[in-house]
Amino acid sequence: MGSPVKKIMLCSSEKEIFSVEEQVMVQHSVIINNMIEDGSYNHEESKIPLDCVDSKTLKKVIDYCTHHTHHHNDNQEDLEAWDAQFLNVDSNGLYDLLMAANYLEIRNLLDLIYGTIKNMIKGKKIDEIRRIFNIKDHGFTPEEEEQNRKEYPHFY
Amino acid sequence: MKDLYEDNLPGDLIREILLRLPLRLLLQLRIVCHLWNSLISSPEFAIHHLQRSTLTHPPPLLCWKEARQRGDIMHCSSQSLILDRQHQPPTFELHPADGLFIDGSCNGLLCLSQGFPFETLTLFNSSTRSVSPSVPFECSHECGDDIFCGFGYDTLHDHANPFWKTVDHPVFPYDFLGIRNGIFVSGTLNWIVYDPTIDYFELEWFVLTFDLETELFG
Repeated sequence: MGSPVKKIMLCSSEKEIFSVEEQVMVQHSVIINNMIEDGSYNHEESKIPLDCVDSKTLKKVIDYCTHHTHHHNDNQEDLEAWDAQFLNVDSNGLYDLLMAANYLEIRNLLDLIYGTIKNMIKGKKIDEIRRIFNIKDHGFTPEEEEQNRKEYPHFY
Repeated sequence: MKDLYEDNLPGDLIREILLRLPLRLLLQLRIVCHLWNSLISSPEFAIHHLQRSTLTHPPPLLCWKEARQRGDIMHCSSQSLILDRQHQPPTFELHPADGLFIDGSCNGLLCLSQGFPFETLTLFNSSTRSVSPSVPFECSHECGDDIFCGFGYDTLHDHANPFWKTVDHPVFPYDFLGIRNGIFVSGTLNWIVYDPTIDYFELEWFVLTFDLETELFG
């Protein structure tokens, strides 16, 4: 019998508790790794409060970290297919994941999300980009906007 | 349907996304909104973007034919030049180098001069196709025709605006091999020189180096 797997508790914004293998989170999240290393997490009584991450998003983040810990030896194609399926979410979901990955400093998940957003921008017209990023006020004067339109007619 | 993004993304996350995009697309994205324009146009962003893109892609080459009368500036990836011998790099249709000398290039900028010894200096940005205003070249002391020059980027003294500086130096007992334009490599300008007092058959070439940070020759 091996020693029991060490677990840590994560608490979502809805106060739901998730019990996760410590090694899984330490390996992926810079923040949690630091908390464990500097001893600020007490295994007997601590919960890590993640007030800005809701349960649905936290569950996805844990899924990502768990899969990438236990399947890191899979071939690249399988991992990429899994990632693509994982990020097959609506843009609200993508936004929530981005904020959570940024908060927990999960670098490979951040890179994955940035790559997806990058592909959302490429080849899009200016109105679509403004819609994707919810930019309601572009802040240009009508004269500037007219000048921009002249300079990049294909972008409009 | 809900708004795609309930809140606007924080600026530093937008910056991270933009850092990953190719330069040509970024130039166009400046007109999305004021925030994006100021992010993309900031000198810090330019430095980070350059560092990032040269890490992930080999830097593109900027080549030019002698621009004394009418030069062609070409732009291609270093890979395509090595892998495809028939590769015809695209040429900029219009560029400001006509009738000017090209003194050097650094990070996609060309330094152009008019007259000899220099009367004015101009910078040409090959990405934005923009040209800086011509700046008259001023030399603090009498230098006659014996000028050698170089164009580089000093990371330590990062100036928001380009500036010209004359550096005092000892008299070098060397002559230049043909080209007097220094080549910029890792923060230094380099010239190939030789000692003219040595007999032609025993001639040795040296590299004269000028460090832009310490302003010392070596």
